[in-house]
Amino acid sequence: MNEVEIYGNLIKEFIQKMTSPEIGQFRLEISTFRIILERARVQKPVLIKFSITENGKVVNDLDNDEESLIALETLLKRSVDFISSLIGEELARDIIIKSLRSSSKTLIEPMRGKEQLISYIPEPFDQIIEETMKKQGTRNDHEDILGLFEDVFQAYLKDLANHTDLSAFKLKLSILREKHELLKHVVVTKNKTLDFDRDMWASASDDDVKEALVAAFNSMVGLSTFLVGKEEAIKKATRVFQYYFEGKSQLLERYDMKDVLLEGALHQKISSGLPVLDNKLGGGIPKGSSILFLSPSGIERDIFISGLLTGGLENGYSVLNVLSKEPPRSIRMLLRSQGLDAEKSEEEGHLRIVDWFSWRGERIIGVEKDGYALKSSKILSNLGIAINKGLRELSFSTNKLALVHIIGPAMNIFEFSQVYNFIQRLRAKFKEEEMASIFFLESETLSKESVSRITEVFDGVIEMSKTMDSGKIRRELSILTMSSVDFDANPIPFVIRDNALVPIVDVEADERIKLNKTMGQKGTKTDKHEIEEVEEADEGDVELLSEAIKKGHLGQYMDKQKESVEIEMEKPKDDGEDMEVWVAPRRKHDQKLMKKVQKVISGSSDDTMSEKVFKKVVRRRRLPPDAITPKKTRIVKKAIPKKIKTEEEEEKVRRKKTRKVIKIEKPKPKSKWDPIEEIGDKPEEILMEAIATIDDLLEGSEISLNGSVPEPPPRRKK
Amino acid sequence: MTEATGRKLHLVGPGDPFVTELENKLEGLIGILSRYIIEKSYSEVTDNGHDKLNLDSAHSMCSSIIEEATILLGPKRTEELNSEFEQIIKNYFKEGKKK
Amino acid sequence: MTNRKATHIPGLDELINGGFPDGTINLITGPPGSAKSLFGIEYLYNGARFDDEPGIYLSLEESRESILRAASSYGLQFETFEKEGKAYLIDLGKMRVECSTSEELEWGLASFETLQDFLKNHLSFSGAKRLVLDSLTAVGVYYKSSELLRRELFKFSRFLRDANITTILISEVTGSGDSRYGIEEFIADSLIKLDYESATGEYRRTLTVKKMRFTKHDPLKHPFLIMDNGIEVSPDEVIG
Repeated sequence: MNEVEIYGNLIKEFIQKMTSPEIGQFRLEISTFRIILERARVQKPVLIKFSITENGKVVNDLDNDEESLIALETLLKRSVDFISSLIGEELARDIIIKSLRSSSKTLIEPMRGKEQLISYIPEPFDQIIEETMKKQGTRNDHEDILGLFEDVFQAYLKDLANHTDLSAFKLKLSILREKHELLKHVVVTKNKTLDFDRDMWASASDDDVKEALVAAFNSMVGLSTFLVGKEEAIKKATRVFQYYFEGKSQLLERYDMKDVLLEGALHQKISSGLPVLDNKLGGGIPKGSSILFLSPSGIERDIFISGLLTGGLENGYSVLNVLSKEPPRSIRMLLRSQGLDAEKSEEEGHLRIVDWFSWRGERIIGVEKDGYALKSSKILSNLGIAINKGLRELSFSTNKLALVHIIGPAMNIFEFSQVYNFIQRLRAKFKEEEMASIFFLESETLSKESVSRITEVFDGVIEMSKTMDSGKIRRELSILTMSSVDFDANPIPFVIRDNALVPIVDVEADERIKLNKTMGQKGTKTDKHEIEEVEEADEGDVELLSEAIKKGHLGQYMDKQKESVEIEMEKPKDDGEDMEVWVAPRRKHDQKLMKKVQKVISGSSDDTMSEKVFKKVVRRRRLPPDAITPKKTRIVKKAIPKKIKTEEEEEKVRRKKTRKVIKIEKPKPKSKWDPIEEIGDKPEEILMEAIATIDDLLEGSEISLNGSVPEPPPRRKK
Repeated sequence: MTEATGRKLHLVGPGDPFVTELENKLEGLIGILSRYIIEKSYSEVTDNGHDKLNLDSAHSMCSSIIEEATILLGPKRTEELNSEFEQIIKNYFKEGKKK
Repeated sequence: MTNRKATHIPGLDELINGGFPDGTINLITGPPGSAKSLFGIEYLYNGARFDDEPGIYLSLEESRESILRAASSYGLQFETFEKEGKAYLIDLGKMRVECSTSEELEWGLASFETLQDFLKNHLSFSGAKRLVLDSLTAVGVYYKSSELLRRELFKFSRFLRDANITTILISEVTGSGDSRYGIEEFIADSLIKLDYESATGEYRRTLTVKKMRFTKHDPLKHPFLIMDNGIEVSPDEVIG
């Protein structure tokens, strides 16, 4: 078939389709095409050798030369133009493509490799050509993946057939066929394998192939799960799969199958909750590796941890969380605030909390159960037992993550070597379970020497740093080491926004967009400016206010169950005379609560708020700059008289010019101090008193300068 | 059977085939400890003024044995033994009456 | 491969390669309060429960009531299995209490030979596969010389082996030794020591498998806990 013939056939098919009743209301008459041809002949006389009979037959006697091709192009173009003039360009395009798609294979296939011919084919036919050619390309991929799946099915079904006749699988397949057309072209053969009708599959789209294969595979694993249990079934299937797909994982990626097959067992990495970090790690944290996460304690770290935890649970990981600085209910609360049901996760075995915190306040014998949480006594062997129990209780998942917060506190109690050995054992355990683990260590709690010695135990070290750079805080996340991973060691600078860690690159991009949007409007204050402004704060003041609140000014309003309120404060530039509190509530009721906080502190409370309001935890959150409600409230005027600023205090202020977020722990329930009455009209006095108290407290107190408030003594066990 | 310990039992029903039968039965289950129990139970009923065993005293002797033996035999086997004893009493005293 | 009697005590079977080899004599020693009896109770109870194997718990000191009470406080309902003939909780202590000392000695109520005679007969109907003798210490009092004790114990152990019953002998030991008479550890196929010790101001319970014939066992000292449902050994944790 020469090129002109091929072109002729395309036109022939086109005319046939356009004049056939199938096309419905847009159907054209043969005579219309005859007229178009007549007109085209005027322009290209050579078309005299091309004719359309009255009953629609096309006769093509054109010579096989370029002139003919150009003539045919003119004819086709005129036809399309005519249709477009009738029903509009877009609709015409759609109809033409749609009508020719079914026969595209026979029409287009002969065009393969004939670049010249293709170049004479006008819109929208070129689109059909492109589509078909591409599909042709994927057909080879379809072949490949079908071949591999055939192998997998054969290996697996043979094994399955030892347990059962495959009637259940066949039944399942027949049900699946209703949803997945392609599965009609698959049969279970006597040899206990699946036989794919390659031709039918070859012309299918990527998505259809993917969905049909995944559905068939999952139903097979489902049957196996029924027979031997989920864990065994998935492990077995994973082994088979990995065997056949060794070195072929691009194919899975091309069909985007990794996530949907075997509950993600094919992933060798698990997410850190931060896409940019995952990228630098080459996809995430390798399964079975233990990472030391070094950071100063603070909001950045808390956000990172929260992201890991919630992200992990949302991704269906099983998560073990070992706590030493807060009780399990804090974690449950954190998850709730992110819209996750912690209790449900615990009940389903996706989350286990090991509590190595409560022993400080209650008598714990060995290991005790508290709901689903496991409370350990102080000694490490019991902590080890509790962790092992927790691991055993976690429901099976192909992706497991442990978050361990014990190193710092353990180092304070036990000898270095004891902790070192303990961590080593834990690491071995996690490795055995193919569990990714992250051990958190506050960089300020250990000497540099100890830190460097402890890092030996781990597969990798990630550091989060916070440094002052010409009066601004610079936060960075960097991978220091990571064994057997080709990681990107460039630090990731980031800021905190909307209670999330946002890489600076993103921020800048974001800003450009925003700037573009507000161009010509009033927007002179950029987002970045806002962020920088917030960085200026005075830790002393934050602690001061927190203490004041802690002492009871606000205490009685806090809910009995919930223990913290977070307030963000900022110290303005002018001499430290004024103090501002930034409140950043997440929800409406939180806003109300914060107003209340403000009122109480500024002494103008009317105490009409419902206590219910306080049952909600206020999470610190910087609202985006384009938020409608102004969030900045100046609440205390001249709160800190100059005279109390001792040299020491000033030094402190100089040293720690950072904005801080404080967590105000729930005070003892039996506070008799009526905040309203006490505060009266003299908030200054109260604050002064608070300052004095803080001074005392800071003397060798547990208040760490990074802004966290000491742990309250947990309630005694009855 | 008694050779194992070298101890002989003199007290229990010399020549009383009923007691001997109980004794054999119990000994098959718990060994020489049966002697201790039988002796105890026998002396209980005879001390109570029953010089010669009659239907009543045989019953009370059996229930005394059962009571003692239950902690060695467990409830299941004790129940079986109880009905076996009933049968022995029935046989023994029926036959005795006949004679 | 030898068949084994799993204890089904969480974590323990892992240490002893699945359980006690069939027909062996296993010594459990430890100071008072080290959960030796609970160990025995669980061994027996779990055999009836999980392996459908009848077992005999021979108590020479503790009363039946107190053992039942202890068992039920960990959720082990012995009486159900007793009714089914799968567990026999035999209280020889009661008999001993009823006798005077001289009577007891005369009868030899809890001497090895009486026990052997008792068991021989008992096995004929109970078909027991597991035995716990609580405790060896109580039998020891009958023997004036350790020579005699040794001989009788040896005879007894041979009987147990021939009877193909898998036995736990409980022996109370105070101080650092492994056995009370210094001989029982030689006739036993295995020795598990239960103990407690002080660590950073807390007491912790420990378990060490000191010896085990026919078995590749873990000889390290492991902590164990007594949880709501009984003993839980932590094979993953090691002390010292």
